[in-house]
Amino acid sequence: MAANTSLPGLDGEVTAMDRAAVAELVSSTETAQMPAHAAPRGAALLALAAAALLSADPDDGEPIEDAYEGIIQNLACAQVF
Amino acid sequence: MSMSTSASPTRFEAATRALAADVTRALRDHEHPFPLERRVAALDEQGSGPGAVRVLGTDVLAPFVLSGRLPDPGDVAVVRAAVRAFPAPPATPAPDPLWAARDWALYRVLRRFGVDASEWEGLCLTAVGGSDTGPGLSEVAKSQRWPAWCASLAQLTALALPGLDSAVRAETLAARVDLTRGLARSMLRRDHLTAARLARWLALDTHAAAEPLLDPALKHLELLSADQPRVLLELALARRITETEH
Repeated sequence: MAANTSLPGLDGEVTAMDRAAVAELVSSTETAQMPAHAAPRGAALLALAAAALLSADPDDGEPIEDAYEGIIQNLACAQVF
Repeated sequence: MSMSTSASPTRFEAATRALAADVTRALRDHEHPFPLERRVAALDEQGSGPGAVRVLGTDVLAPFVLSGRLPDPGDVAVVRAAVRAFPAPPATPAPDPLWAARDWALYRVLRRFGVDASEWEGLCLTAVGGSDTGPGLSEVAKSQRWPAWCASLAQLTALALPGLDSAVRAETLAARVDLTRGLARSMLRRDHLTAARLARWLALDTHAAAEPLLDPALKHLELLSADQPRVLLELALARRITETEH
């Protein structure tokens, strides 16, 4: 599939693959996986232990800091900032 | 000039990075006009420039939005050509919510410059409607927990410009804590582009809800992202937006 772009200075053909490549860039989202070197040291174990102390089964009903993802933030924010 | 017939994501990535660097320079040196048309034409010989314009969306017009200058007709023609060359996906059975929101923002930014894009070929048809979210986006957002919500929000920074009052922006204002959590999470994951995008959303309404961690976060990201033009563009926009908010 090709289409002409005839506006000034931009004549030429754009292929479907070009469009797919641009669409991929438009819809790019966060990186899928955190690199190993990015993991705060010991955070996983600390988070696990803290989550076990606060709730064995976080269900979104508790304050976010009590859920395991919130704990990860709290433990590591000081390191980041 | 003829566009290459080979599909090369890296070609468009490279052009996008180069154009992002140009826009960043324009944002930092806002005493001088930003020659968008010339910058796009100078990108390469293979016609990747219009693709880069489409990827960056309203960000290519940010130097005009934030300086109060009007783009030249040639600048607008470049944007129109990019929209035409890289149209939004077909609106049937339903418009793509991401493209609809991005084109909603583009349509409104252009309208601010006195440009009526309602007849532009390639623009998402829902862009001229009254809402940025369209059917679907807000429902998806409501059903997401904060990490996924922040990831979605990071895709929508085309809407994070002063003067664009969108439903997404209202959501961010109502969920600043989640937004800050998302920023911290992205920084921890070393996902600097997502972090910078979320910082930009945070910067947008600092007059209504100050965020003390924003400035250190911006400095931290600037240090880590010196070789990442797209991250630097988001950070430069966050800085300029913060300035306009005060």
